[in-house]
Amino acid sequence: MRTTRPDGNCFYRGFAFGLCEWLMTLAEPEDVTRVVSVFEASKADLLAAGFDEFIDDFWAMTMAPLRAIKGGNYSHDDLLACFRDQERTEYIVQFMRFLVSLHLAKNADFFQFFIEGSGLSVDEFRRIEVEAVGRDADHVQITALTAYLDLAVRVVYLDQSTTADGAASEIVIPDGGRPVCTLLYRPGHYDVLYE
Amino acid sequence: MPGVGAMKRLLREYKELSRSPPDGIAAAPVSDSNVFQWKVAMVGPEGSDYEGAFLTAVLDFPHNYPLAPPTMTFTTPVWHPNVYPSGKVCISILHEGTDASGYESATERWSPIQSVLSIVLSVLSMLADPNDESPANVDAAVEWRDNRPAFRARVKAHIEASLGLSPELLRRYPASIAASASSTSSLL
Repeated sequence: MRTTRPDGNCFYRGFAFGLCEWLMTLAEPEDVTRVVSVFEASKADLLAAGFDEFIDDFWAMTMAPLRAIKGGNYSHDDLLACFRDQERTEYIVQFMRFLVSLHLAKNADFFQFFIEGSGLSVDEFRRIEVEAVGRDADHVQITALTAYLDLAVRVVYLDQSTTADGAASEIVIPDGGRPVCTLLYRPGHYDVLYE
Repeated sequence: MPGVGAMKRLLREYKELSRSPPDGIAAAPVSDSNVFQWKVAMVGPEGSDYEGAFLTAVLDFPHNYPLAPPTMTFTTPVWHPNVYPSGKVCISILHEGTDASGYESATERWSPIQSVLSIVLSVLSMLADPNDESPANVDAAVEWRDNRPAFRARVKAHIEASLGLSPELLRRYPASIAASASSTSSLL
């Protein structure tokens, strides 16, 4: 298990880290090409959806490791150094938030049903629960991020949902997808879990 | 190196604001050598109790801006439920994450997509539309709620003071005051 800082950014940081590790090891070359090109295109996608052009600092910070991984000149130590560097890791986390917000904006009709219970509109939810620094990710955010990237993640829950025989429950989001990484969820926190 | 991203972003915001200056708002770093502190000047929103006011404030940016918000402190007196007697502005977008108390958790918090301009616009809308649920200045909040005429009179006195004019002068020459207020703003 790799622990992540318990600061409300842990899902995004854990997922981004797990995604990079997957791209560097298990992913097929065509997966790498596809995922990196989704990120490459995301800047234009964000700007077209009306995001402020200030997002490009966050996009550039996220593209640096991805382009290096695609080029094959990125070591695991480089990846660790990147995610332990306060500025770089926070910019990457924030960029993940923008992608979630973008996907919610583009699919507002669909997500409205899941957000209704919070009493917020999709736009309010994007600003309050997604784009704001330090807000935890829940099922909606995870669904949106994996959908935008067309990837899956496995979440193992160690909480009230633990089954009667003591086994942790786990889900793959989206259902039936091929997870790029596994995150361990204990109430309020996600860590990266290895088999 | 810490602060490089912040410096880059602040210079970018400054360039943007200089290229297309918004109406009634001026903002710039205090000096070339310190981009982490800005002076801001704004004209009170039309139709609000602060209409005609010429207000100045200081923005202090942390070295990890825009990941964390700046603080904003008025340097002209502002009598308002959401402005501390010290001048410090208290609005939700200048706060990060969730309060320990969970209070205000359903309001908009700081996001790096906010900027100097969006902060000033939020503050102008706060001036026009106070939030008396979590007052920074309890006395002002109580007066705003229970004795609006007294609240307005005090705000008016502050506006006059901010324009450097005596109440006597304002009574005698209201038109020229309005003109001077608008010319002050266009100078910026």
